[in-house]
Amino acid sequence: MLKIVYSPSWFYPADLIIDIFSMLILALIAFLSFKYYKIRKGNKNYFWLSLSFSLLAVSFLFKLLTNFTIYRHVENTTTIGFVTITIHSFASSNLISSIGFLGFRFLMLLGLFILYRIYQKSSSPYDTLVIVYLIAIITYFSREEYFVFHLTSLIFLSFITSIYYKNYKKSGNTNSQLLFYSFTLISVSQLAFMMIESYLFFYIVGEIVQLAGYLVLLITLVRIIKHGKKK
Amino acid sequence: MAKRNRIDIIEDILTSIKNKGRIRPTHVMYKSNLSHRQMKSYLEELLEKNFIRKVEGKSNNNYLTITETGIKFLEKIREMKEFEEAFGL
Repeated sequence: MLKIVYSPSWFYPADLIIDIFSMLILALIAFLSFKYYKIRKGNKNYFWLSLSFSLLAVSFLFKLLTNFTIYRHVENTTTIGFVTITIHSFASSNLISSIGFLGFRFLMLLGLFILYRIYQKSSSPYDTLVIVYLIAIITYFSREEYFVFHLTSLIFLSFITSIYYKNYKKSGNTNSQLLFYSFTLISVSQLAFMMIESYLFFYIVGEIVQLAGYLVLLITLVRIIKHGKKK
Repeated sequence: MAKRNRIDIIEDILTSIKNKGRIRPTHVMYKSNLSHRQMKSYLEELLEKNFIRKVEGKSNNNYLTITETGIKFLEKIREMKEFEEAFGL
């Protein structure tokens, strides 16, 4: 049976807005990377960066569409004699939910893996195939054990965050520092999401920390774009 | 000092033209630290892409000025380099 953790009903529109915001930031990074890839034709890193952020943005699109389908209330109003009854029910389809959540998780992990791989010199293409296979397995089994997906995301994000920390220490650049902060916050949000099966409250914590992470990422991007026009 | 790539050289050329407002091609060569052959090839490319244009000054001397397209491209290069540094690419 597919496990789906619902947002508390009072938080319902907020989590969709946070996810839309996160998706737009990820799509903006993918767009910028692709624009720079066209300028620096020889630099494949830009291509991979664009691909990884595109996958992350699409994963959020899957999540949004799935959540939207699940949360959509259908009102059935029936009148029996003098009494009018309004029934609220979830218009959810198990198939759509399964495909949506599996798509979200698989693309998210694949995007994070590609992002991590940009900074690690590949030893063999077989290693990549093995990791992609393992990501598929993790995605499948995370249907039963929800936290496995967030644990795997946390592991990838921790590696990426440590790379950004080293980059910040090396360059001393403020934007590198902000990038490190944003990925730290996004990693912490995964930690909160891991605990939502015990306390639903952590879902709200996770979403708010995620929002803070993407806000810092947006500030970083604004600073980068402004830098071009400054001189 | 790291070896300059094509984009670095274009940035140096556009920056030197932008800073001066208008500049003689030979001065671009000195400021950008290029050989005559290299400079000729880069300037042809930049003229073709409408990033710079030639203007005639006093005593029929040719000068170079940066165009709006050139300024926009220079901003893009600087933006890209900042992005590159932030992401450690």
